[in-house]
Amino acid sequence: MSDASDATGGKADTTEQQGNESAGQQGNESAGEQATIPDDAVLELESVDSGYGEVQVLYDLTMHLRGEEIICLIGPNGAGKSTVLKTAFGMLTPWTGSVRYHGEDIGGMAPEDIVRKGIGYVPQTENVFGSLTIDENLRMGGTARDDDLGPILEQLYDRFPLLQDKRREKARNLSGGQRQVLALARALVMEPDVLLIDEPSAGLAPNTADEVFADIRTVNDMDTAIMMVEQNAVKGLEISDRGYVLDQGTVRFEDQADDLLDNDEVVELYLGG
Amino acid sequence: MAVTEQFIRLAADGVVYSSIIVLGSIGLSLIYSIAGFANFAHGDTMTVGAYATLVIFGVVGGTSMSVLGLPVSFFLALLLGAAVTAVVALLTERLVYKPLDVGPIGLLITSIGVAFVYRALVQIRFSADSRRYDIQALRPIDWLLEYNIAVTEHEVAMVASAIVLVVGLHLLLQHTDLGRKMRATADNPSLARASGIRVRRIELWTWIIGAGLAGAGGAFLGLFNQLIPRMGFNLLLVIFVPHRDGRPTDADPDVDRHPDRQRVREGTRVPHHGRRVARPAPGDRRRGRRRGWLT
Repeated sequence: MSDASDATGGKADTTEQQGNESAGQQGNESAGEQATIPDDAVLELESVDSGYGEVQVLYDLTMHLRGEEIICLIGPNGAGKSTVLKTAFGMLTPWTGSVRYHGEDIGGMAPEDIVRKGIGYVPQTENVFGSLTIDENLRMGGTARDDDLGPILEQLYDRFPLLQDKRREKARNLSGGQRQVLALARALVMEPDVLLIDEPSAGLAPNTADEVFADIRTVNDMDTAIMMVEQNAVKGLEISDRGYVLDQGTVRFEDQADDLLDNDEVVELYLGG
Repeated sequence: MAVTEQFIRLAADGVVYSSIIVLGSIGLSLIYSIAGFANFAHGDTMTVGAYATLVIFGVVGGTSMSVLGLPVSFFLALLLGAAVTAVVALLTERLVYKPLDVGPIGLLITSIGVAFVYRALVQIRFSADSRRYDIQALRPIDWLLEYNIAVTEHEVAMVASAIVLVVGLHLLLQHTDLGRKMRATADNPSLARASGIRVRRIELWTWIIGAGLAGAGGAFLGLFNQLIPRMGFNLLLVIFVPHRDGRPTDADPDVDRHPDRQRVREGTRVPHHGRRVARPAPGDRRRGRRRGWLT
């Protein structure tokens, strides 16, 4: 786990009640030990500060995603997990630092351009076009493709048969789990190298959430690297290769997913004992 | 019997007048769906279309060939007038609305000012006197009079043209790539961008189509009645009526409407000041939800 174990070695004292500024400094120290970004990283965020308007959320955040792996971002509410995805996807411009995709700086690039680079994004909520049919939703997902959408749509219908059965139905009529599947499929029409998924299990019944996680695994098997934010930390880490624990806008822990699940401090502070 | 005759006469008048109103109303709704504000300049946009058609028809002149009593050149002038209206609306969008960093209410108030400017410019150029297209007025169609329907061929042309335009728009929205993107953008602009849709282009197309329809509606209004600088403004409240659920209050105030600045401004939530706001059903709540022709 190399850098990951370093990060674990540099565990911060999360019981300290610090302001955002000091939290950022603490992240710096931690990042200093884990700043090494491997050569095979496809997506990198390096020393990123970001936020909304005047409100800073991320402090000197560094993380990376390798090809064909799943990483899960966990942490308490307000830790900045979704902000990481929005910054990586161009919905927020990093205040400082850089976001690189295959070495190219994409920080602040418009989402519609980032999609064309090969990164997909599945928002937490409102992630389908409710007034459009399922077929139209998928076609919208492929809007940046120049070639015929027919073959990729057929592939996706084969992989997600429930979409095939309801292809003429409005997406607003789907259940929560079906919407998540459609949202995944919509993002996959572009056949992205990297998929950013925000809270895939939010609002879903446990069984449905398990099915969605299985689908995420399936997507990963299609050679798509996945950066996922998940409130259900245990479930999220169980299907992931690596994990990051975020707190107050900075990385507190980084490790292999299994090791995070075995880490007493992580379990006690972030996984509910 | 007299009541029935009166009803038929009023219904026929209503169909003709509605064909004008619907062109204005659809354009208003389209722009509301995409741009996210109620454009109070839309009535005066119709006025621009009417006067643009007047000028172009004056230049082109009448032709001997006619359809339903209207010179073919009038239809040409109408199309060019609609195009001029679209250009005026596009320029207004780029020069006035786009640079403003204000919410839907701010844009609405701005559009009232734009309406005043349109009307004043028309009045400066053409005076407040009424004008008519240089087209001979027709008597009602004889065989329809037997059924107490007093409709001229010109009015039949208006209804037929409105049907063609509305059906054409429906086909565009349902069966073309541009139409699907327009509906997707109206449904969820943020997701549209995440899907790779060039939302700015869609927004411009919407202004072009919406203003073009308004321009055509204005030309028909001038043909139906007469041209005066207040003609569109007088119709404004009427064209708002068919506009579906045009309340901006159910849109989330946290969402910036401008596509290139579209982001959730977390931590800056605008209070509703105690107003009761209709809540969508669970699972169907969309940020920045705007209802209209497209959704």
